[in-house]
Amino acid sequence: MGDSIKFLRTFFFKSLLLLISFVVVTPVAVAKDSDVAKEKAISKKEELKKWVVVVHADNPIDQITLTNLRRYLLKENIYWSKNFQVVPIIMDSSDPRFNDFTTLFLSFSQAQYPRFWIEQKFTRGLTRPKEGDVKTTLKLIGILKGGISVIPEKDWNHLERPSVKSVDIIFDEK
Amino acid sequence: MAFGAQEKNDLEALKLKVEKLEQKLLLEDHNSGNVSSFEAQHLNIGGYFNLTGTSWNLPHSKNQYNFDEVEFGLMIRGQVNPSLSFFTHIEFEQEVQIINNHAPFRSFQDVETQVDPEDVILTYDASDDLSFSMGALITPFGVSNREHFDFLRWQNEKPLALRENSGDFIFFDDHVMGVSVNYNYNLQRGFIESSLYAGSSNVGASRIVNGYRLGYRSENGQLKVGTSMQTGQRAAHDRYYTFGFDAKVELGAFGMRSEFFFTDLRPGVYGQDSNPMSFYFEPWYHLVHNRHVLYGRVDYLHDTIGLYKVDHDRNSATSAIVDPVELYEFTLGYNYLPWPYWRISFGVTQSQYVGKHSHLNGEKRDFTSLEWGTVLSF
Repeated sequence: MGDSIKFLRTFFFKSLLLLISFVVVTPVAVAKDSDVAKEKAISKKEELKKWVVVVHADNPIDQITLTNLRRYLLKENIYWSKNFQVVPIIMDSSDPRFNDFTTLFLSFSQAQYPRFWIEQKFTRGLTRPKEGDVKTTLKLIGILKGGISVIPEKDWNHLERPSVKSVDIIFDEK
Repeated sequence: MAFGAQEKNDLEALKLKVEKLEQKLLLEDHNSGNVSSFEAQHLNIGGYFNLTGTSWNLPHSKNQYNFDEVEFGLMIRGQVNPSLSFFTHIEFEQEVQIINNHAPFRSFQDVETQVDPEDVILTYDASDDLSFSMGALITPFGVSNREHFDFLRWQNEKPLALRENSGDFIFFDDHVMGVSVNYNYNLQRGFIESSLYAGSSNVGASRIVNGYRLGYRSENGQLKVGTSMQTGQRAAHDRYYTFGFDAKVELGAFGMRSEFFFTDLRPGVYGQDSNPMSFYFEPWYHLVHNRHVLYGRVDYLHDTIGLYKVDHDRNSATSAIVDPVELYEFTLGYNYLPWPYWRISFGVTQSQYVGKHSHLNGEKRDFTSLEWGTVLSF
């Protein structure tokens, strides 16, 4: 008992030291990195312009933050409002632009995407959203009122868009 | 050729029919894989298949080889209405039992076949943040216990603190029959998760177990840290208080899991000289689009109450004895994933016993084991 208490005391003390050093050192490191972070944010905003967020025309939203968009696409948040369920549809994972999409909007790589959903299936009983090519996705969102997807801007300009509208992305990352 | 009004109307009607037909086909395709059910809006079925083989190189006894586990896990999730859902996970399992677990002459025994309803959970989602669960719950203690499914580990053998010990546990009860309240607080970047639960223990149904976990999960789930506690009553023993700290980090191709467990027991009740304690550190590295995984694990357990008390006398007529142990396990392994949902694994583990119980009857308990296996998730 005495040994364990001694061990725990040392463990907590060392953890506390580690935490204090982290708190002291981090602001210095953060200050140095802030310029790099600003540049990254600018480049990310530029990248976002190459994509369009689409929802059903009856959906009342006009804009969406990047954080909320990620939460809808990853089924962290599943309701637009009471009894109005979100139906995310993801671009085809065989599309050569899929890695750009996952990196920009989901914060992980294309290779990590299947593993993420396998983990979600086991730990939260969730299934991965359906995938579709851009044309099918637009048609589906025109039918499903809770539908949401992200498609390349290039394709958006060349397709018919019945009962579908685009919404503005608000960049809310620091 | 000009169309008359009638033809135009027919053409419009035909277009509408084609459009409706196309919509129907699209929706059917979108819903493909869905199972029809009686009352539920959605019903999903999934699971996994697991086959594991193990061999032990025992310096003081005959080496052992075996396919020691075949398992089929069936998971069903039904969404009854927007707020109400159920989840069940049933294991169909054939497992070879181990006897004399910490003896230099450890061996495999008979095959035990069991059907085990591991999780049977009814959940009411009051909102995206607040939910209430009831049923047979997995206790939200640490990372490995919450992610206890075979496919989510790099090898079949769990960390030392979580392994089964002849039906009892060293640190905490991994399942309870009861209720839990779960609350997620949405931060700008990530979530604070908390879970409070109370229920009957699986080991000795008359005992109530309570526990709480507070953790942080990053936006993409690649950083998880938390602290857990559980208290309850052990069969024929006194109250225990178990504490744990856990972390799981994935940074590009690197990842690691680490946990610390500590149980506070009333001194002298078990005749133990100190409290049980365990920790492990498991780093891994992904290669070639997550298809190859190299992993390691350093695992430590000080089991001061000796719950691995199997018959240490080779004469099976002798009754079991309490056998406290202190050991390290050093593991190196490799996983190959031909597809993201199929995992083939191979690992080597060196078990080293230390402290005053490192020998049994003058023989060192150390041994080497090889584990190989495959898990398919569907």
